Amino acid sequence: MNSPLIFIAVPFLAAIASYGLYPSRPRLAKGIAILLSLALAGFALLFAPGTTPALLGGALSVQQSWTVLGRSFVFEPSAQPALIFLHLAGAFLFLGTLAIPVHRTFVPVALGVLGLMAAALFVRPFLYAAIFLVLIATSFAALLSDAGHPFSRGAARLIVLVALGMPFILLAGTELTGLPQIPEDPAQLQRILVLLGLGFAFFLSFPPFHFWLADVADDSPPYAVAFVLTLFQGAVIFFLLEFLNDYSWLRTIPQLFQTLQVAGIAMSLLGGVLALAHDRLGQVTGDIALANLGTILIALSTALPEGVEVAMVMLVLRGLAFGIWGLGLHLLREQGRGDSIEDLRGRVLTQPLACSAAIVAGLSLAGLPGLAGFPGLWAALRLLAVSQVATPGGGGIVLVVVLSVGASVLALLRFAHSMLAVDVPLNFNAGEGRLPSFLLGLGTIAIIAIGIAPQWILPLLARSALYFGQLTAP
Amino acid sequence: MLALVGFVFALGGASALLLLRDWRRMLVAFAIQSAGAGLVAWTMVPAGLAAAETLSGWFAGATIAVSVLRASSPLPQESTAPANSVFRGLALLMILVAIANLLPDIGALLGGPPFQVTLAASSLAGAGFLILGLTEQPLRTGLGLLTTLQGFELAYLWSERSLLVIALLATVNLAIALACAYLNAVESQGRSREARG
Repeated sequence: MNSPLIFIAVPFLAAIASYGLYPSRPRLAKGIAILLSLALAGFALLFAPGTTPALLGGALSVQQSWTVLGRSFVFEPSAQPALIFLHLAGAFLFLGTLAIPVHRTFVPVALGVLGLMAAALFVRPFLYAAIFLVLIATSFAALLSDAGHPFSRGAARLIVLVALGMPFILLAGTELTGLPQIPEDPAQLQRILVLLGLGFAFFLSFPPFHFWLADVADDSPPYAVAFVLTLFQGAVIFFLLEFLNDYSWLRTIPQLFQTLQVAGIAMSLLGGVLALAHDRLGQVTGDIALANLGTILIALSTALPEGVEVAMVMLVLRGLAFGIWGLGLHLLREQGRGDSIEDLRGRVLTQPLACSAAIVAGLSLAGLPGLAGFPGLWAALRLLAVSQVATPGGGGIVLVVVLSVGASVLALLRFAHSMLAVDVPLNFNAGEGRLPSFLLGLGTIAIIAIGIAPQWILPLLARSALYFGQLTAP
Repeated sequence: MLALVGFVFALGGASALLLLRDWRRMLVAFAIQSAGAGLVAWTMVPAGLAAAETLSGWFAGATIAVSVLRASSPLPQESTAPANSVFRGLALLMILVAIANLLPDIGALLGGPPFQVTLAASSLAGAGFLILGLTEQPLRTGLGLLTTLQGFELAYLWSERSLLVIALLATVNLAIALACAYLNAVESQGRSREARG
């Protein structure tokens, strides 16, 4: 049994099967996607490198390497948390598709994306993952544009910005190959850092390459946006972590962490400000996603192992929020209705669960205390206080993040106010349907429950950061 | 000599791609540009690998052509005013002058390929960036992006000749063409619906 081959090839085979099944048995096609994602997450958990799994009393022989055209795809321990996260997030998001109609290509493309993500995590040298990230971004075009959303500027911009990031990473790779330690030539070091900085700026949506986020959230199907923001941005963060893991000497350069911190602050600040300026719920959530990603980068910039733990926790919890938000906004936008403050006026009467889910998920993403997104944000802010990298302006950074959270919450409360603006006494007539209502209710409760009692789940999530335990400034 | 002919083809194609408005002519320009990139690549690598560079461009162009032919409404027209073309031409000229001045630095950043390869690669990338900056239409965006990447691939061939990487980069070209063709098809359907009211 060859594990890289299983993670890469099986999703593609399932994609072909689900494409054929979808017209006649859409639920079966979605069910296959859910079960396969869960099975692959379980496989990643049980068949980890370095273990000898047993089946029916006998030891199973699992190969962790697959060679194609002279290059290897290797399942290394550091890929395990990423694989588990991406497949569990995939299963969770596929579950939501049971409640809403999706385009025929949605499930197959999303399955194919899981295969490509696995390939990105396995490929050696690791820099070639940049090529797979571009393939993933191009695949998302099929999700982000459909008959109901024909003019998707965001999809085209996502492809362009990710594709422009790839050359810089690959060119940096030509310099990094065979470089076991920090180069002695300062000019070479400068070239490497400039190329890596530009490449990751495109991939991680550093301002000014961030504008696809709000565009995508505004003009694409919300549930597809949830996929992109959860899986793609998750994969990019894992790419960054693996990168720092593989090229350990990069961690001896404090400027690298300072750059991450500046980018994180800029994203956090810009996200908050833009959220106040925009007046459509999709756009605002895109802005808040930017601010949230900024906070993740700030946590990583502390160069502490706890920073990686915080990033892991935030990545998982933003996936939960995006799933619920995508489902809620999909229902709010159904039948060609808009999502501006005016369009949503009084909507709570007819779609109470969709309204509350979209707002609660947004508030969780923003980091409102009492909701699932808050513990990660709180931990990131606490880390700043003890980090060695963020010494002089630590208080200022905390203030920026808090202001950004405040602006994001305020932006969402405008929508909540509009949804609740009714002239008649509240007399709910829920029109979301049984399954969507169940999933929206469950998701909203989960967001609140994790916010109230984070100790139930967060230590488990944080433990996955152990695989990146080396990711600290020496 | 081969490099010079290739450079003329590549730059001529990229310039025409920037200046022309008719999609048929644009695709012919892109095909010429891809042929030029292949010729420049031939100065560094065996003919088979260089041909892959040209062929991946031609396949991408063909994918886009099929999408436009099957579209339910014509592409939206961009301005054909002479001033527009003059502006584009001048902008390209400025980029080429900047590239000529920065050539040694660009060469170092690209891993030190021969002069003619650096020139062709950076000219293609520059023209591609300009096309990307001047349009929002998916097909033109796709052609601009493919032009930029063709420039990069040319330079990258100097340092990386792994078959898997070359195959993956060709796949990226095709995937970009497919994605842009898909976005164009959906947009074209949307325009048709809007026109019907």
